[in-house]
Amino acid sequence: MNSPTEEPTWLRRALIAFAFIHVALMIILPFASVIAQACSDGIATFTRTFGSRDTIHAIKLTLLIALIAVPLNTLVGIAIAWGFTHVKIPGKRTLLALLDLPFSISPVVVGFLFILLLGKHGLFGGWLEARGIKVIFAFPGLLIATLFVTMPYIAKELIPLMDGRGREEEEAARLLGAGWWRIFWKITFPEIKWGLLYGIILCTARSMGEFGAVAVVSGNIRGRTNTLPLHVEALFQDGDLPAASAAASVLAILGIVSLVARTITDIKAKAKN
Amino acid sequence: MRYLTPISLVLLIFLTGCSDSATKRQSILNVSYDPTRELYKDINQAFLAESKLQIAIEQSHGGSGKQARSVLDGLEADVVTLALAYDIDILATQGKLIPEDWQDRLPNHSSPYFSTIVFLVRKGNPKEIFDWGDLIKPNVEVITPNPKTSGGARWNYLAAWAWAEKNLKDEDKVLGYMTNLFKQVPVLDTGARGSTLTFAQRKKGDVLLAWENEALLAVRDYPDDQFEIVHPSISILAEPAVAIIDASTEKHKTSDIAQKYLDFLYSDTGQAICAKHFYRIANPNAADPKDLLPFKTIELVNIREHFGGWKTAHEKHFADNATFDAIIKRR
Amino acid sequence: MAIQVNNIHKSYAGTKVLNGLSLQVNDGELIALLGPSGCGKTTLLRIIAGLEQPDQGTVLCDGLSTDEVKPGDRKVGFVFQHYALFRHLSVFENIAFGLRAKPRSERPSEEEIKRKVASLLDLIQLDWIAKRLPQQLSGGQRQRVALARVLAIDPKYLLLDEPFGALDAKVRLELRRWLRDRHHDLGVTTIFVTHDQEEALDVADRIVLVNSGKVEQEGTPDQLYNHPKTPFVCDFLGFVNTITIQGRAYHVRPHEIKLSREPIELSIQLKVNTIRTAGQLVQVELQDNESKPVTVALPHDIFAQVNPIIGETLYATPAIQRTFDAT
Repeated sequence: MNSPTEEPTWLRRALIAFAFIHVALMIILPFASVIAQACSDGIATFTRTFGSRDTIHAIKLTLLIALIAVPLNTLVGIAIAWGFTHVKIPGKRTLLALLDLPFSISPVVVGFLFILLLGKHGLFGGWLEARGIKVIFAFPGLLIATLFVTMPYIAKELIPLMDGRGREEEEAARLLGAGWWRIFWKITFPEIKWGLLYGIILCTARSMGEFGAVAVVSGNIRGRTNTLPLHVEALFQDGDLPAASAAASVLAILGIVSLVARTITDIKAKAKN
Repeated sequence: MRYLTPISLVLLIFLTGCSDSATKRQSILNVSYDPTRELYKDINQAFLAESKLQIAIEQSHGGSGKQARSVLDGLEADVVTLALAYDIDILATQGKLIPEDWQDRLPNHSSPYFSTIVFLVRKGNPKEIFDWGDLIKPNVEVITPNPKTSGGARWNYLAAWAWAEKNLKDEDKVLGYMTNLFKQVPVLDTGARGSTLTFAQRKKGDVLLAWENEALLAVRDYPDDQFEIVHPSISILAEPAVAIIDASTEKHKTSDIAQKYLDFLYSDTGQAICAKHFYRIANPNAADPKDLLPFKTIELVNIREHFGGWKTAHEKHFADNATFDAIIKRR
Repeated sequence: MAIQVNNIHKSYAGTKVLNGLSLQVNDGELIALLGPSGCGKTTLLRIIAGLEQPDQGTVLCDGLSTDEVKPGDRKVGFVFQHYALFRHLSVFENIAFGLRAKPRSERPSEEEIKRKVASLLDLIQLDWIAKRLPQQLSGGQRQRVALARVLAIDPKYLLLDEPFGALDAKVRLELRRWLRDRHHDLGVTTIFVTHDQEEALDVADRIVLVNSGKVEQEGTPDQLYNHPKTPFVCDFLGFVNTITIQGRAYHVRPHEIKLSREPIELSIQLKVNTIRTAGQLVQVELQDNESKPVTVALPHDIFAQVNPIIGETLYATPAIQRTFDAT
C-alpha cells in the first residue's frame, strides 16, 4: 500500500480529517447556527420578521435589483464575450484584465468610486442634481453598484467557450448564407448555453448577496434603500438576533439553491462535452 | 419568446410592489446615529399619533461620522439627529446645507436629550473597575469604538481625558494614561452599537465604555443580570445634537413637518419618551419619575467649557495626525 | 473568368503571408493550390471566400469585387479541413442548413428541402445516417457530409481547404477519386488546397504551386512535373536527384537516369549500394565518390539488361538534361 511516492497513511488520514473539520467549522457550523438562531423562538420569529414592512420591502428590492441586473448583465456579458472573441481589438489583454476589475477591487471601494462619480460632489453629481435625478442613496445607485460587481461573471464564463472550437462552424454557417441571428441561435448558443446558465446563476447569487458596494451607496434607509443583506445587518445591529437570523436564512437558502443549481449545470455541461 | 410573458408579468408585479406608499405619501428622512434605533421607533409613532400627520418617517442609522458623510454626499436627510454637534457642524461648513448658527435655532444648543459615558462591566465586577484609573490595570480588556468613525467613541475619549487631566494634571502623564488605555483595547468597532454587540453578544472584554442609555438598555435587554453599570467619579456631558437640513426640506417642501418633528422632541411627550429610553433630559418634570431613577448624579464636564468647543477639540484630538493618531501610533 | 485574384498582400502580426499573389481560375476548372505548409495557400483560400480581408489587392468573382458582395451571398461552398460540421445538428439538418438560411422569398418548402437533402445524401452514399449527429460518423463520412452541405446551396465556387488532410490514406484516395468524378458531373469551379503533391497531380486540371506567399509556377500537372521552372518546383513535385557533371547540376528523377557499364558522354561514376526489386520499378541506390546518394528506378526489363551488382561501379547519365543554372 505504502509506495515511496505516496504520503504515509496517517498523514493522508490527518489531511482528510483536517479538510472535513475545516469545512464543518467554516461552512456547516455557521450555517446551522443561523438556522438554529432563527428557529430559537419558534415560528413566531419568522412570522414577525417576514410580516414586517421593512423586511418585505428589502426582499422585494433585492429581487427587483436581481431581476433587472441579471438579464441586463446577461446581454452585456454575451456582447462582451462575443466582441472579445470575434472582433480584432488592439490591447485585448489589457481589456481582459480590466474586466477582472470588479472581482479584484474591494466592493466597498467600488461603492466609494460611485460616490466619487455620482455623489453630490462627484464628477457627474452636479449634472444629475440639476436634472433632479437621484442615483446615490436611491434605487439607481443600488442597481448600478450591483451591475458593476456582477458584470464579469457571464462574460468570463463565455469567453473561453466562444473562443473554442465553434469558430469554424460559425464561418461555415456564414458562408452558407446564415445571418448573425441564425448563426448565434443555431451555432453559437447551443455551444455556450450551459456556460451561460452557469454564469447567470453566479450572477444572480452575487447580485442578491452583494453587501459591500451596495452598503456604501445605500444610505441605509429602512423600507426604501435597504436590500436584504443590508436589512440583515440592520436587524443585527438592532440586537434582534432571531429576526436577523430569520432574514439571513433566506439568503442562506438562496445560496444553497444556487449551489445546487451550479452543481447540476456543471454536471450537465460536462456530460455534454 | 414563450418565456417573455411570465417574465414581464413578474417584473410588473415587483415594479408596482416597489413603488409603494412610501414614495407616494409625503415622507421625511431622519438620518441618525447608532444607538437611537429604539428611541426613534417610539418617537416616530408618538409624533404621528399626536400630530395626526399622514406622512411616513424614514430612518437611517449608522456611525455618526459616517452618516454625516453620507448627508454631505447627497443623502437627502430632512433632519439629522447625530451623536455630536461636530458632525452637524461639517454639514454647515463643508456642505453649506444649513446655516453655521444652526445650534442656536433650538433650545439647549440643539440637544433635546443628553447622556453621559459610563462603564458596563460583567456581573459582580470581577476585575474591580470603579473609575477611569482602573481601566489601565493589567489584564483589563476595554471595549470602545473608534473615535475616527464613532461619535460615542469621541465622548468616551474626551471623558477619559477629562478624568486624567483632573487627576494627573501634567499633559505628558495624561498622554501616557491615554496611550495605556488604548493599549487595553483589542478591537475598535466603527460604531457604538457594534461595540455593544462585541461586549454583550460576543462576550469580549471586561469593560465597555458606553453611552449611559446604551448601557442601561443592555442591562435591561440581556437576560440573567449579566451586566452591571459603574459610574466613574467624573464623566462628560454627552450632548447629541439635532438639526433641520434646510437644503433638503426646502427641496422636499417639508420644512414645517421637520420643524414640528424636532419641536416634538422638546415637548413633554417627547421628553418622557427620551427618558424612557434612558436619555437624560432638561425637563425632568415631563418624565415618569421611575424612569429617572437610574440617572446617578456625577460630576460632568462639558465640551464648551472644558474643551473649548467641538472645533477646538476636533483639531486637537481627532483631526488627522492629531493626538488620537499619535496615541494609536505609540500604542 | 470565374475567379480573378490580383496582387494580394496579407500580413499577420508583422509576418508577410501573401506577397503580391495573382491568380486566375476559369469557369468550371478544378485547380489545386499546392505548397508547403505555411506558404499562404489557406489564407488565400479564406480571402477568396471572404472570411479574411486582404491588406492590399482585389478578388473578383464573376467580375464582382468581394467587397461588394457579402460572403453569405456569394454562393461559395467552403469545405474545412476539420469539416466544421454543426455538432448540435443532425446530418440531415447540417445539409439542410444552407437551404433554411435562405431569405424567406427564396427559401424552398419543407417538402423541397427534404427532397434535396435526400438526393444529396444519395450522392454522398450516406442516406442511412441522416438522423445521426456528426460525432457519430467516421472522418470520411464527415467530410462527405461537409461536401453535401455546401453542395446544397448550389455553389458557384467550391473552395476546399485540405479536405482530406485528416483522413487515412485509403479513404483519402477513395474520396479524391469521388471528388474528381463529382466535379466532372457538376462542373463547379473548384479550388482545392493541399500540401500533398500526389493529390494535386491526381485531381487537378491545373496546379498552382505557391511558395512564400507567391505563385512559384502554374500549369497542368504534366507541365509542372515534367517542365518545372525552378528547383523548388522540381523538388516539390516528386523525388529528384541532383547530380553534378562537369560542373553543372542536373535535376533528374529516378526514372530519368540511364545506367551503363561503359562511360558515355555526360556521365558520372557511381557505386551500387542496394537493390530493391519489389514493385513496378526496380529501385537501385547508388553513391558517388563523396558518398552522396543517387536513386535510380528502372523497369524490370531494362534492369535485366543492365543487371547491376552490389558493390560494382556503373556510369549514370541523365536522360533529360534539366538544369536551372544561369547560362
